[in-house]
Amino acid sequence: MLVIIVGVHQHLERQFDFGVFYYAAHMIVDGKGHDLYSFATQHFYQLRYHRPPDTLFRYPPIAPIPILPLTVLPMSVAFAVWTAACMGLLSASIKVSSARLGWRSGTGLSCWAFFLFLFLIACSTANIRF
Amino acid sequence: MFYALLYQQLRRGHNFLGGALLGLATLKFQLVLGFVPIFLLKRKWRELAGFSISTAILVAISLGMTGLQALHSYPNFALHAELPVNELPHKANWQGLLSLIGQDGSVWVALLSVATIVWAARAWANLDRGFCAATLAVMLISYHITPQDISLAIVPFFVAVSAGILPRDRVPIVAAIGMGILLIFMMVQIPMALFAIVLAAALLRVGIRARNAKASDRSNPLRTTV
Repeated sequence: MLVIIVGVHQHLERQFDFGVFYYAAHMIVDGKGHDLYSFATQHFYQLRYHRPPDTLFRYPPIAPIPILPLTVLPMSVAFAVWTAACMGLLSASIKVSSARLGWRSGTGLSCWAFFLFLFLIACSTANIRF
Repeated sequence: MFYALLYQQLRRGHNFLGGALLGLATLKFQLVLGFVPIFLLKRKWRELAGFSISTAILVAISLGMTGLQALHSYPNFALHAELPVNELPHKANWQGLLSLIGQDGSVWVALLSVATIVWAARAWANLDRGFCAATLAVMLISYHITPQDISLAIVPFFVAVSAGILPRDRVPIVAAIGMGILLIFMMVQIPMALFAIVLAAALLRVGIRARNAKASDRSNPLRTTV
C-alpha cells in the first residue's frame, strides 16, 4: 500500500498538501521563519519546490514542526517516510485497541477492523486535496 | 494517536498528563480546541492545566521559529490567502453541512456548535461516554476538517464498543455500513459534508444512552457510575 500511495504522490504531487508543509519547513530551516506569512517569500519557495502558486501554507507556525527533521531528505523520500510513519502509528493504534477488546486475528470482527484499517489508511495518508 | 493517548491517560487517572497530550495535538488545533469548552463545563481543571502548559510550550517554540511579528501577521494572512477550491462541501462538520443550503457562516453554525458542546458535556456521565461524545462534538464543531480527519472516529468507535454503547455483535454490520457509506461518498463524489449527519447521529445516540444510564442509576441507587 505504501508503494501505491508513494507512486500516486509521484504523479499527482501538486494535488497533495504534503509539499506545502515541506516547503514551509524548509523556510524555517533556512532561517526565513519570520517571513513564513509573506506572500512573496512563499511564492519564492513554491517555485523552488515546483509547487502551484495557489496552495499556500496557511496553517499555524507549529504545523510544520513534525516535518522539520524530514527536510534533510528529498521531497519524494520525505513523503514516503512520513506516510510510513502515519501508517505505522495508525496501525499500532488499531492493533492496541483491538487487543484491548480481545479481537484476535482470524475472527470475523478483526476482519472488519482490518478492512476499516485499510480504508482509513488510504484516507489518512493520501491527503489528496479534493 | 494523541486522541488515543489522551484516552489512555484519562483512563489511568493521569488527568494532567492527558491534558498535556491533548495540548501537543494542537498541531491540528481545529480538531482539539473543542475539548476546552467541554472540559470547562465539566470543571476538569487538571486536564485544562496540562493542556495550557503544553500549548504554551508549543507557542513558545513557534515564537522561537518565526518571531512575534510573523505570529502576529498569521490571522491577517490566513484571512486573505484565498483557497484554490471551495472546500466547504467536503468538510464533515456543521459548517460544511450548512454550506450545502447556503447557510455557512450563519448564526446557525454558532447555535449548533454551542448546542453540540452543551450536549457533549451533559453526556459526560463517565469517561467512556464523555470521551466518545466529546470527540464526535469536536469533529462537528471544527472550523476545518478534511476527509482523512474522519479517521479520528476510530477512537470513539473502539471506546463505544468497549463501553457497551455499541454492542459487539453489531460491530460487523456497523463497520460494513460505515465503510460502504464512505466508499460511496468517495466514488460518487457525494459532498463529504453530508457525513456530518452520521457523526451527529452517533453523538445523539451516545448522549441518549448517557441520559438513560443516568435515569437508570437514579431509579436504582445501588448502582454506581465511574
